[in-house]
Amino acid sequence: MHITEVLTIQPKAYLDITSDSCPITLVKVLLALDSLASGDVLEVHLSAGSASKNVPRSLSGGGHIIHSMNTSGDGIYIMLVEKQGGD
Amino acid sequence: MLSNDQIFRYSRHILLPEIGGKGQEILLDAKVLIIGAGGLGSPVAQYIAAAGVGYIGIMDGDNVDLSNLQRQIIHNTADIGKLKVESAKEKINLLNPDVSVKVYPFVANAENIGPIIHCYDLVIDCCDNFPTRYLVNDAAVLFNKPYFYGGVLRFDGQAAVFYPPNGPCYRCIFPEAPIHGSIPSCQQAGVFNVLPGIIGLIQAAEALKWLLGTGDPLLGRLLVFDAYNMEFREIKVNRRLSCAVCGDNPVITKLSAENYMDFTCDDE
Repeated sequence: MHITEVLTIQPKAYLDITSDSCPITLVKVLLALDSLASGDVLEVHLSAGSASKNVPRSLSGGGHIIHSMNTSGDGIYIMLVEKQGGD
Repeated sequence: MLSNDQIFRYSRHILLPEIGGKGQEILLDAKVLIIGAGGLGSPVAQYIAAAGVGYIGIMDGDNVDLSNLQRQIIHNTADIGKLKVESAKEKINLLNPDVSVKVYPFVANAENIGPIIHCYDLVIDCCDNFPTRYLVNDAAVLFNKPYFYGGVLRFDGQAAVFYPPNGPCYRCIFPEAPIHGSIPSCQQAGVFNVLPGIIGLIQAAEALKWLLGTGDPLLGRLLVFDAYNMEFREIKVNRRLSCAVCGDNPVITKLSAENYMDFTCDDE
């Protein structure tokens, strides 16, 4: 992925859940979003597979916006999610 | 801030939008008083503790008896003879180290209940007799605490949330205790063992929802359950303006022992 793509949206916080498994992956993202305001963006690093498939889907279902979901090819995805509501 | 262990322990609650991490922290800061560590109190205490309510008070003056174990599932065979509150505390400590348990190894009375109830966010009535039930109701009204009522006998159970003036109190619905001997105790009449589990968990569910400020509470509605025919019924109940304790001109303005004379059976 190119660094310029990330810089177009400035994340407020960063979270690495590459070593977690379902559902703790989603739980940790939800807790991280708790500490942000609506409209803030969280950068999440997550593993390819169950996490990369299910976490964005659950977050979209919860009303949050997935701005990008890019992989560097090493089995790690970088997701930018914008928090919606909950204040 | 939740620890890593807490994130795992409470993950299934944190996933619920109605609870989340913030709700879990509310539960960890909450204080719940349970009156009675018997058939209703057993499941209430276990589930409230598993949910991570941080401070639980349990009041009961009885010791564990062999005849309790058919339904009082927080106690086991090795606990016979122990104080019920101590037996319950041991199980809760094993279940969840996040919970502090305060034990009150005595029967609630007009002198002791006030200063205790005062310290809690809400009270769950898991008692098995009318004097204690009226006492807890009146104390809850006078100290302005939400009161989570449950009662069981044979195959029948009831549950409600009382927090006047939002809906009635227990006295609004049942102004006077039944005449001595007219209602048999569980000891005489028996109780279907799963019934206190079902009713107790309705009380626990309502208490947790209340602490979280979520959902529709069982206010102004008396839930009546018939386990024999497996039927739930709901009776609309209103606050009575002439109620002796929560009415507009209350007669009961403080807790006095003469209002809670023992009218249970002599052979208990």
